[in-house]
Amino acid sequence: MAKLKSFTMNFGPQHPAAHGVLRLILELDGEVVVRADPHVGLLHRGTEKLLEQKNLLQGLPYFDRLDYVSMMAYEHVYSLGVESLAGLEVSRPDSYTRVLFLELTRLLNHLMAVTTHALDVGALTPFFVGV
Amino acid sequence: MELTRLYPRWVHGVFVSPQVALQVTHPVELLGSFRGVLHPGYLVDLFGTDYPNQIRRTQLTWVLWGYTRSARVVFQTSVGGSHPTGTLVYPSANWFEREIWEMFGVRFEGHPDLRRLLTDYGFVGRPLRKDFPVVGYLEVRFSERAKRVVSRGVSLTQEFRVFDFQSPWQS
Repeated sequence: MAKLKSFTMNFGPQHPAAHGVLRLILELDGEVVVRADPHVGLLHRGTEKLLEQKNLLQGLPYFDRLDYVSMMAYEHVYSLGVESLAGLEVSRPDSYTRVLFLELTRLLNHLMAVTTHALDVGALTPFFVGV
Repeated sequence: MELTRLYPRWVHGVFVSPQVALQVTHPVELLGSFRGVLHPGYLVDLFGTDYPNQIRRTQLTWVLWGYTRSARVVFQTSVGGSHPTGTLVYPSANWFEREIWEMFGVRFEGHPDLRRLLTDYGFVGRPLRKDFPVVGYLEVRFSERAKRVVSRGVSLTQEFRVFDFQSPWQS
């Protein structure tokens, strides 16, 4: 029998074991992945380019879409950028509200990350508890 | 700032507002020396900005972060067509440089694998240059006859609109 050194396999772009769209070109030696060439651009939406044609307020909703469980955190980063450009400072109560929402989205993010990781390794219950 | 004294040939100016950004000419050599100072630190970000009215139209910005000193170093340089690679100093520059290559057309000399990273297969153009239109040049659709996705020139069914109002309640 001829000895097979390694072979190349395509993974994705749509695959049940991948969260979202990701394509990998895998070079396998038996079950061992020797080399992986990730094609990461399938989720790229050109936010930077779109923002070139928007005013500052219209730009804000794009940052919700960068991460669907920490929308407030991304909006906050954008708002901080706008504020430092314009030399603005938010009032005390407003910055308290911001901290509240940042902490809320941080908790959501951790719940999501830990429980879906548990899902991936075969534990179903944590996700239901987390939700 | 003492960096202009330490590296008088490479660091030309420092402006402080609101973060420090160094204006430099030999960024790769500087990357190597910062690697020693930040031991070893991370190359957190490397990105380009397009200034179409300048001859060296792409401005590159490196962001270094070292948590042993809790220091963030930002330095910038303007490049025309090509630039030496920083992957030998910081391997994380690999994908950043691939992105800048496809988005701005800056060729990084000595890069191990300079290919497109984020755009579609067979994409033509430098999408983050300011003279590239937001709608692009090609649009894709599924062709029932060819049984695959085909691309053709963009044809907008309505005029491209820019809603450049002071507030969304103005018309």
